[in-house]
Amino acid sequence: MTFSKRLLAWIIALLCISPAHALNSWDSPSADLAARIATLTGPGTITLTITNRTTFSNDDVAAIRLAVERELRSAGVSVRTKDADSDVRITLSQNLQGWLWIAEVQQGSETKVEMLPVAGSSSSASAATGPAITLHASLILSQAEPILDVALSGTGNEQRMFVLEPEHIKAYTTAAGSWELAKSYEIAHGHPYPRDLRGRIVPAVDHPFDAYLPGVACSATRAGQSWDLTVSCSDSDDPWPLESQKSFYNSTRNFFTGVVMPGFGPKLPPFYSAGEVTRVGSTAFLFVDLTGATHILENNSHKLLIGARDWGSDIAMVRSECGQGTQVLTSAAGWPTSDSIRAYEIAGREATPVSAPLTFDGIITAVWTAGDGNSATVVVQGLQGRRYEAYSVSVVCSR
Amino acid sequence: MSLRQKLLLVFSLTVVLAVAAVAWIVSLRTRQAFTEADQKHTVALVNQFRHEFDGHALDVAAKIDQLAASDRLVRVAYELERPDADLSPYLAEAATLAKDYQLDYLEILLPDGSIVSSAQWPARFGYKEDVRYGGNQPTFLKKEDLSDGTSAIGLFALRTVRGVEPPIYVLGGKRLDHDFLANLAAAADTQVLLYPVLTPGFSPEQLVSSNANVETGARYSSIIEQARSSGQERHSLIYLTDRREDSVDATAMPLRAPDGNVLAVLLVANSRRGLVELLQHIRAIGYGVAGVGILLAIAASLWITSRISSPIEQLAAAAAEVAAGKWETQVEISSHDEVGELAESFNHMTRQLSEQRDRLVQSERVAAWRELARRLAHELKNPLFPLQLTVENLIRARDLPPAEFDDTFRESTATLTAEIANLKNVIARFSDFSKMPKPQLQEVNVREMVEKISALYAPARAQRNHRLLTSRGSAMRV
Amino acid sequence: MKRTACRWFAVGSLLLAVLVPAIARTRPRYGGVLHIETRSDPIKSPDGIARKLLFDTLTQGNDSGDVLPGLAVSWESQSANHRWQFHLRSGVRFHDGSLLTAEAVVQSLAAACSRCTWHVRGVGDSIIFTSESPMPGLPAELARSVYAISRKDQNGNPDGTGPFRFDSASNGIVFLSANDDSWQGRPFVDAVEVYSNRSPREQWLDFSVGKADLVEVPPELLRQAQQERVPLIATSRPTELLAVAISDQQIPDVHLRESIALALDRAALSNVIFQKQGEITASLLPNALSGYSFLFPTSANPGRSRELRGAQSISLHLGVDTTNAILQLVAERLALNLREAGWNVHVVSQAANLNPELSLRLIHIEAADAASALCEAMQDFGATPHEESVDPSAVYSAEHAFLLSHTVVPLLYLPKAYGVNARVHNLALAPDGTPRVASLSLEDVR
Repeated sequence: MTFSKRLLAWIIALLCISPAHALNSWDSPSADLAARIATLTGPGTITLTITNRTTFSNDDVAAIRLAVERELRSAGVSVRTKDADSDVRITLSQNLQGWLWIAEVQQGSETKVEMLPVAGSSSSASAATGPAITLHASLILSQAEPILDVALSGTGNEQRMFVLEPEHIKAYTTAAGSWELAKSYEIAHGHPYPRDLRGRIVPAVDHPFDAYLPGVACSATRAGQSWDLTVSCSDSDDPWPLESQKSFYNSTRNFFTGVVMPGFGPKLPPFYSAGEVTRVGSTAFLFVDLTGATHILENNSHKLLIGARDWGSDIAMVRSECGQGTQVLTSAAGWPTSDSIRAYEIAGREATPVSAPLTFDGIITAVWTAGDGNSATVVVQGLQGRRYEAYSVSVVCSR
Repeated sequence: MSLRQKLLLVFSLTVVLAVAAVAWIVSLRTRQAFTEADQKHTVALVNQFRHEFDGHALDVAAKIDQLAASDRLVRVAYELERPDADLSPYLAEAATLAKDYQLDYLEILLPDGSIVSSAQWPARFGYKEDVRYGGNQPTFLKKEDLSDGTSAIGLFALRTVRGVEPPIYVLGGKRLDHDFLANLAAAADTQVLLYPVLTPGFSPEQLVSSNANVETGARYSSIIEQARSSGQERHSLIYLTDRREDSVDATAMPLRAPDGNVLAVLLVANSRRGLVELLQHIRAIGYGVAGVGILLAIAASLWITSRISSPIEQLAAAAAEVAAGKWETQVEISSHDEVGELAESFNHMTRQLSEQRDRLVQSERVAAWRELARRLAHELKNPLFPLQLTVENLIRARDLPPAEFDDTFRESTATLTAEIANLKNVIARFSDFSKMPKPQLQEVNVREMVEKISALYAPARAQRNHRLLTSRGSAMRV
Repeated sequence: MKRTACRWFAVGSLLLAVLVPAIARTRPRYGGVLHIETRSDPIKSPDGIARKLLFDTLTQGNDSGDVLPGLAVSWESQSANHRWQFHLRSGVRFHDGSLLTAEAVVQSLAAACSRCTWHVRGVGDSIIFTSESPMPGLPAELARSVYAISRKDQNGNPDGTGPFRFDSASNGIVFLSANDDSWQGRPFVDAVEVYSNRSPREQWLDFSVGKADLVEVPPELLRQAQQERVPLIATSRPTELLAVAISDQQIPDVHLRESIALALDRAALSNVIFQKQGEITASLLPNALSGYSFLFPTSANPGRSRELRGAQSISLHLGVDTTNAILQLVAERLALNLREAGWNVHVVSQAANLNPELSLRLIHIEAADAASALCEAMQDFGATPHEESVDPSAVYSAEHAFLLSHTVVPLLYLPKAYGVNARVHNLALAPDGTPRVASLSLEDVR
């Protein structure tokens, strides 16, 4: 299958997801609204107009209309084009809380209004296209509360997802292909968090996970095979894991202090994020300093990385079967309203993009290498701060 | 009235009339001459002002022409011509352009007259102006309603923006107000006023002047109303106050809108202060000269009359003295004319009278002494005869017996004594005669006494025109 | 092919490197002094920028209208919303170092509340609200800055728990410095200077020459700013309601008030004066909050207006803040509308004429949920809202009933917008349109 056909398939698949999801999701509110309309009109005839004031597609509107008419018929209300007992105008509107469907029922000179709040969501990620490497993002979780990091542990039915939030660590289990919240563990901290809060949750070998926040460290333990965990958090200055290194984090700021263990010799300046590039016989350490410049540290000296001018301050290393086998995923430079992730490979001191940007409907707030190293967890804050979404981004090779 | 007063009056009147006549004639001629000159000056000023006004109108037209041809407005017009043109960005365009081109009014109009932007009333966008208003006139007057509810008259020009079809119009102008008038060159003693016709009746508050508040606006009401109703230029002399210096030669020029309605009346008021003051000055000089002349005349008259009347008065006074009994009165002879001759004659007459009187007195005195002597002799003779007889008797009696002699002596001495007493009495009476008799008090009615005495002098009083004034009241008795 | 692709990407990235700004950092940086200019008083105005930096509220609203914890970490209601209990966050300190206590909260709320129907008291670390009428929207209402917890320190200066502390104020400039111990985290910038009473023109000039980092852009200048390619314009959803208030005491006849309402042409205001930056509305709440504002008809009807007015010739005064040129323009436009409908209207200064029959007002709606916003709007117009339910239908019914009296004629909803200097990053606007200064960072910090 050629690259272009594979790409087309991905696009069609993605596009097909939304309408299918919508078709199923409108039935319930449509029925509810139809019932309210039928209560006002009683059995008889109506004219029905639907006005769309939302971002719904025409297909969505048509689906809603079909559902409403179906429910009205079952309630003894039939729809005509003219000369009906009542005139019903449905307006698909929205407010900050979500959708609001409004029905105006006019009988003679009297108009009655019914309103139905409908929950809705937005934000999606488009698949990146590119001739060589493709970035693939799959949505792990979407919620209103901030997400700092996500860790997956276990496989199959034993798979657990741990979501690190500022005040909680939430454990999810799988059920019928979706995640369900199993338990929430409160994070106790004696000091207020800094702004631009960052945190990491890392699966551990002998216990479910360790979690790190500025000035706080948490650890989970399980009794035997039970997933009834005990999560203990305390004020701590423990260094955070960064690949093979551990780095201390400034508990009142949003960056690492530059103190790395075991370290590389030269003292590093404070940095936002870092990663290791495995070379033949050596390992290079990439880090993004507070000015936004990316450095490559090897052979006891660090230099500016060439070709990283458009890198953001978050980088994560992922392994793949493509290219050099290790790619650097980085957020975009600047402060775009629609952020993106792009894959680079490092050759010498030069960074070369190997994928097209993978854009998200929001701002990327965290990019961490996942526990298995084969993907990165990307947390996106939706536009206007609506919802937080966690994606697993992996590198897919194109042929 | 005395001769002197008559003479004084006659002389004074004569001189005063002569001086006044001359002054009046001179003043009248001078006033006429200056008034004619002033009227010519006023006409010249009005013409000059009319020319100035027309010049400013052309300035307004030139500015609008320049504006309509400006690149900025052409760009705006092209934007406005687009089918989906959004007019909102140009809402403040007119205000900006008006400021740049120093215009009070400016509106940008679509082909149908809809206002895109208005400098004077920004909120009026979308409303329509009549783009046919003004016809083909380069400039025209127009009444402009303003956002504060008031109205104003402006000098407008309407142009189409260059190179745009259908046309985009620009309607702009200057407000006829104080600033506009101030920019019109006017002489120092000329006031330019403008009365915008905004209300049916005359309202003095609407009168605008170029240099100061118009406190006497009501005075112009009649000429303004005449110009307004007739639509013709009017001239009038107007007194702004009760003082003549505050009068003006006013010319009212009606300013018409394209439809012929009078929208404003332009007044050129040429102050007559200079003329009036000049005339007053002339009059004052005339009065001064006349006054001085009169004073001089009076002084001269006084001198002349005194020269003439003084000897006569002296003669009259002397005559009065003579009448009063002072016959020896003499008058001074100060001239050798008829008055001098009269005086000399008078003196001669009084001398003669005096002499005659002296002679008369002398003769009367002699007569009186003779009479007195006669009477004295007679009176003395009477007692002296008996005395003589008695003495003779005594002499004779010496020869008589002693007893008879004693009787005769006693009788004779008694007779001597009596006759001596009589003689003493006569002498005493003569002595008493030489004395004023002693007053003998008696109660009298003063009024009656005065009236009696007055009656004695009635003729003299009448002659001298004297009156006796007596007080009222009851008679006083002393 | 792969090499070609790589070469293509390399060239492409090189081109991108040329076009894209040199600085690549995305994480906010600490440090710097932020220069803000504002027209109003930054502390005394209910939506003053400095007020939101100095003080915190018990709750906060997010962009979705949800109520989030603020100084209160949790709350619950009893007795059908007649009683609420809010639990205070522990460890929060005022800028002077003293602990936040329930007593301080109660004192602050009592001072701020002149027309509240609830009674407040402190019990331990809880704040208890009680009322004879239900208060279903109390948590959302407490997010309003009028209920921010504030006090005066011993020098008489403002003291709060906010991310910035008050340093000094002189010559119309308020100096704030970052609160290192802020419970929300230390702000990124070290200090903020707020220049108050600056006209839009002055703000724009300072912004143009780079003196100001954040300036207000009035709605009528928003389009021009966008066309002039200002580096960043941050625009909020509509939060400023432009409305005409009609005195029912001076115009007791509701038909006359309706006549006035029908004469007003909103389209001209929105399309021309505000250059389509506003949202035409006949409802008290913007559609983003309520979702049903379209149910209130917005079209003018001069004919019907004349019918309702009848033969009466009434002289009206429309009061407006004449120091605001755009409001005066709006007032003059409305006066034209009314004159067309046969009313005799004069625009007067609100300051000079204390009792005009009509008043043009611009009010700020802070609440992020419909029920609270309706209460806020009604209170601003002198009405006493009765908050029965937060259900959209109930809110609509309450709003509809209020607007039927025609004492308030909503005209437009306008957004708040800010010109943002290129060195300012991560600027987000709160639901009410005020900038979240504590969350932004500066680029050129050394």
